[in-house]
Amino acid sequence: MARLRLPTSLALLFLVILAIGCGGAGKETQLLQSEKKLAGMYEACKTIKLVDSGVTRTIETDPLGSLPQKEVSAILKRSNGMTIPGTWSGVPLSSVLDAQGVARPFKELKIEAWDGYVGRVGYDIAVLPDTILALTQNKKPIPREDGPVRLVVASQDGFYWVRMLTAIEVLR
Amino acid sequence: MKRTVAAVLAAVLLLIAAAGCGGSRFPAGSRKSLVLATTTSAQDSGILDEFVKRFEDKYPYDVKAVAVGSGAALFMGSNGDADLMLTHEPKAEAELMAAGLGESSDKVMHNDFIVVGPAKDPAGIRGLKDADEAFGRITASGSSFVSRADASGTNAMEMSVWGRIGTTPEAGRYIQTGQGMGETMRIADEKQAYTITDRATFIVMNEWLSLEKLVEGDGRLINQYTVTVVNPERFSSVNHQGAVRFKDFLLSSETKVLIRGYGWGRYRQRLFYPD
Repeated sequence: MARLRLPTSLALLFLVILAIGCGGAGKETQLLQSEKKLAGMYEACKTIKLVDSGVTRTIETDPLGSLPQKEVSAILKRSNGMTIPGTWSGVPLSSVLDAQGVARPFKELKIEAWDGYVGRVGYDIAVLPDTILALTQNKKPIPREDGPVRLVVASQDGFYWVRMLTAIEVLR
Repeated sequence: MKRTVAAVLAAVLLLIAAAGCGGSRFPAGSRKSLVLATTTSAQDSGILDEFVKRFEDKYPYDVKAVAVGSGAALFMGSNGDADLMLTHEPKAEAELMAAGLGESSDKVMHNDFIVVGPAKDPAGIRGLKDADEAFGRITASGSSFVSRADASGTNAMEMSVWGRIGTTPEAGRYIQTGQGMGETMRIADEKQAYTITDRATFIVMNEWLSLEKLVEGDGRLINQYTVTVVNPERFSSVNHQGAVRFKDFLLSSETKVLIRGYGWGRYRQRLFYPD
């Protein structure tokens, strides 16, 4: 095979770089962009970041199942008027915060989901016994697309029931 | 001499390749964060990425685009957790403005919602231009309908049709996914059921599915995208200047040209129409 001239080699290298692109689009996966962005969500959400007064801690979700569980019968109210009654079981959020040494009272919690969604829960609501980090829904694990745990705020509508929970910031 | 020319050529080529990798011309420390809460349909069509890329090329901002349902996006704005929103749920947008939580609300672009379903079309809705009539026939024929059943603008439009005709398919024939448009259309495809979708997402997914477009052209099914700037008097922490710049960018003649031509090269169909 004849040796390629230097400019020809450079041109080929350039085309290869362009073809690879910036991170590689790779094979068409038949997923929408919003779905592709959820890759790795479930595993990542097994560790919830907790930020309080400049200190960052982590809440591991796997051990939550061995803590005392609270069962909540509630109605998930969506903004479109749709209602989903059910039973959710998990650990009261206040117990988790206490175990992490979060001092009371605080102003509110800023709750962030994997997709960037942010909800806020005031102190009075956060410490209610039926505000829980739910591990099950109707006796089954929380649907995988909602993450390992879901915040259930029985006293409030669906906007507060943050799924794919990934971070909690304590605001004082 | 040849070596010098080759070296210059290599440097130029590498610079071109690097420029294609999306690096901003503004140094990292000089860029301010801007949170745009929006809807998944804008993201899934690809036009959201195009908006963000062009805006960041022009102005010193890092745009964090949070693509959730329109209801959730507006809720974020109503708490001051977003600087501006690009959504498609007119009723909720009007409520936010009426509550004084938004400073401005402007129409950006539109397309429409369409009813899709199996090629065999057991409900006989193909060619109808009346969504109410189509939904009624789906119910009467005992066909299945798959609903997103989430806080999205698409679901809000679906619910408005059911509300007008005063019925929904019987239990077991009305499948609520609680998920996005992609998974909802896949389930409809698998079950050979009907569903409602925004036109852009259907065009993007069309080649993956056997579902067919059956009902279009109902003037009530317009899918209007509106940009809302959060009121800085209610939330002092928002990036108001950035939000106004992004809004102005969306409404600019340059962006109208982008919207008008977006997707034509790939799909030979128009996905959006500028307002």
